[in-house]
Amino acid sequence: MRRQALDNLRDAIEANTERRSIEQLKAQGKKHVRVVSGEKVLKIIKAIVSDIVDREVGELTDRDRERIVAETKQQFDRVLKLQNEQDALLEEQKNLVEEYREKIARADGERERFQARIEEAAAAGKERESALAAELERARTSEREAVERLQKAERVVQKLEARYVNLRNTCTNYDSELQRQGEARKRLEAEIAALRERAGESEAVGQLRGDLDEMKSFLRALGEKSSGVDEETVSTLLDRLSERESFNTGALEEKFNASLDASLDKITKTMEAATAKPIDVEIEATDVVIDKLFDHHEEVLSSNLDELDVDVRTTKDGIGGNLAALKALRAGRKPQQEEPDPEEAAADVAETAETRAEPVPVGMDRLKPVREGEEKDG
Amino acid sequence: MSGDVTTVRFNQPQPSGDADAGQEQAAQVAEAVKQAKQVAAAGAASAKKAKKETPVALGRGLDVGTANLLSATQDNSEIVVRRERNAFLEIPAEFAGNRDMLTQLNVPYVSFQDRLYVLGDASFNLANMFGKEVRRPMADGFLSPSEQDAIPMMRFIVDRLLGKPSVDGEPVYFCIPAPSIDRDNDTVYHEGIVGGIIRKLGYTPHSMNEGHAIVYSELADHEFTGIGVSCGGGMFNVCVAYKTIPAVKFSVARGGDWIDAHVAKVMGISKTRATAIKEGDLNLMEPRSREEEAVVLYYRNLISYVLQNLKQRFQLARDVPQFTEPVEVVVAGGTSLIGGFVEVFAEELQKVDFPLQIAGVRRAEDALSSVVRGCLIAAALADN
Repeated sequence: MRRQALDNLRDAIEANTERRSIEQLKAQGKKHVRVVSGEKVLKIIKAIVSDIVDREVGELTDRDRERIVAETKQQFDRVLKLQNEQDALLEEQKNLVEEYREKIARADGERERFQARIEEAAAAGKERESALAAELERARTSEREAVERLQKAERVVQKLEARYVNLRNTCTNYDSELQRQGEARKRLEAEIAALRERAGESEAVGQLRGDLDEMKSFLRALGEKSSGVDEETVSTLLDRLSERESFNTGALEEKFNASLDASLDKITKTMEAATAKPIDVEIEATDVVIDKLFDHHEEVLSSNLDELDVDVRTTKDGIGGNLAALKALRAGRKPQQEEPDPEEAAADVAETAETRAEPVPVGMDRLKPVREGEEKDG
Repeated sequence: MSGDVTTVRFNQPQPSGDADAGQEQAAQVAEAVKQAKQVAAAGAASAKKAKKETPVALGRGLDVGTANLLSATQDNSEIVVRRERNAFLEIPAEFAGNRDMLTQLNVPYVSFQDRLYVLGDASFNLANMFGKEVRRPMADGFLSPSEQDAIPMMRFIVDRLLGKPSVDGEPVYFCIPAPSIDRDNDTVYHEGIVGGIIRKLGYTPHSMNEGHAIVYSELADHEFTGIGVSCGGGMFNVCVAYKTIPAVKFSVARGGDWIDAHVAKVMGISKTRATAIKEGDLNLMEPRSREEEAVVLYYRNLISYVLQNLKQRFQLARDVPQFTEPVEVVVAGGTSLIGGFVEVFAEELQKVDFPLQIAGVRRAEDALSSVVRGCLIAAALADN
């Protein structure tokens, strides 16, 4: 029985255990192992069973003992199997732990690499942020400048609008002034036309001429009549006239003179009215109009007109002679009538002689008006 | 203009038939010429004396022309004439660059109402550079109605020419055109504004007819009796004066620009080209091409037009004095500078049955400055 039980135990152990070499055990990190023989295991089992049986059951038969041993062995096998399974599981877990440790190591490496990249990215980000900040500052500065320019432009626009309004008012006022001057001119032109009409009226002049013609005819007829009267009749008339003391020839003459004077005055006034010149009127632009045209003179911002000169030339031919001639004419004298200065005479001799020596072209004289039908010369 | 005839004297028609009468007449002519020379010599002597005796007076002349503005002042016995083109150009401020550079380049500018303006001759030089047209305050002899904003520019130019007055209220005589007989223009506005400009500068303005100014300048030896014709770019001004008193004065709205425009039109060329032909070495008596012939044709037409209207005006005028002596015609102005102008004028004058006896035609010695010189004389006389 013992041998068979031992053989069974041996089979059970081989069935529920693995064969491992010492190198494998070392590779697993095992440095010590417990070695137990099959016989000692059987003894242990028997001892355990006996103790238990003795404690629990008391005295047993051999068959019962054998049966208990068998059951115990089975239990032991199951425990051993379970133990092995646990060992295997433990081993597996240890392997997993190793794997996880390796994974963790790899992950740590990855983490370090990512950390470095993050640091690099952070540094780069800081640089970009600085650049963006600088650009933002520049943009803000540009915006401020643009705002200032816009404000300045707005001020200029307001100024220009004010000037435009001012100029428009100036033009309106100037138009009014022009209209007023135009009306004044029209009034003057109407007066001139009226005067010219009067001058054109030949009716009054014609009537006077008619009166004069009648007078001439009357006098002519009177002369003819008087020429036909014989001398005797005339002398008789004269005698009669001389006898009439009351005959006042002076009064008649005076009356005739008065009448004649009145007629002459009338004729003179009519002729003056007929030949009167049109009235010339000078109209000056008012200072108000001129000021409004030039009120922006102060807005000349810059100019170089004072630094540059215009085209200038001088002429030796002065105006003294012209002025002297004009003054002489005003004084009623001809310029040639002035006595030459004796001191100048000697200096002028050569000039006069030169003038005298100038050849005179033939036929150099004045032209008479050419009438129709006459031959023109040269 | 070398070789150009500046004076034409007219020949007396010789009577046919009687030889003795002809000889007697010739003797009379010779005697008259001798007397005339004696009178001229005495006049020259007295003028020389008067020139030395007459003190330099205040007063300035101002020729307000469409193309050019001129001023004249006395400097001892000389006359100083200042000239500037009556034009300006507005340039963009961003192209102005360094304004000191403009000064160094002799470009006069003024910054006015936030704009930059170049004045005078320089404006023409810069116009091509900026592809812009110069602006002119005046057109056809008067202030341009389309350039009201240009009046301040003209004020700056006049200021440059006149400068500061020697005394407050110094007299300035400025020329104005006579009303045109062929255009409805008005001298009131023009005279008022120009006078206002001058008064604003501290002077006392007086206006004077352009043709009358030529009489003052060129007919001193003829007791200021004769006909003055100012031949400008925009118009011709005529004044018939008797001892300084203007008897007839008028203007026609045709001038050098009118000739350029018509020549360009009929010849199918640009106005600039027509102007270049006219201002080249053309002699009206010797045209050498079809274009030059066209210029001659329009010159003759213009001169004839002026003379015919002068004749009509003279005949219609009232209270015209009796011109007992033949009178001289003096022409001046830029349009009269062309070669052969005096000869053509004399020829056209002979075709007109003129109511006055004309002694001859001549061009002023300084045709461009004759008007301003006349204004200066009037101003100096007013100050005396």
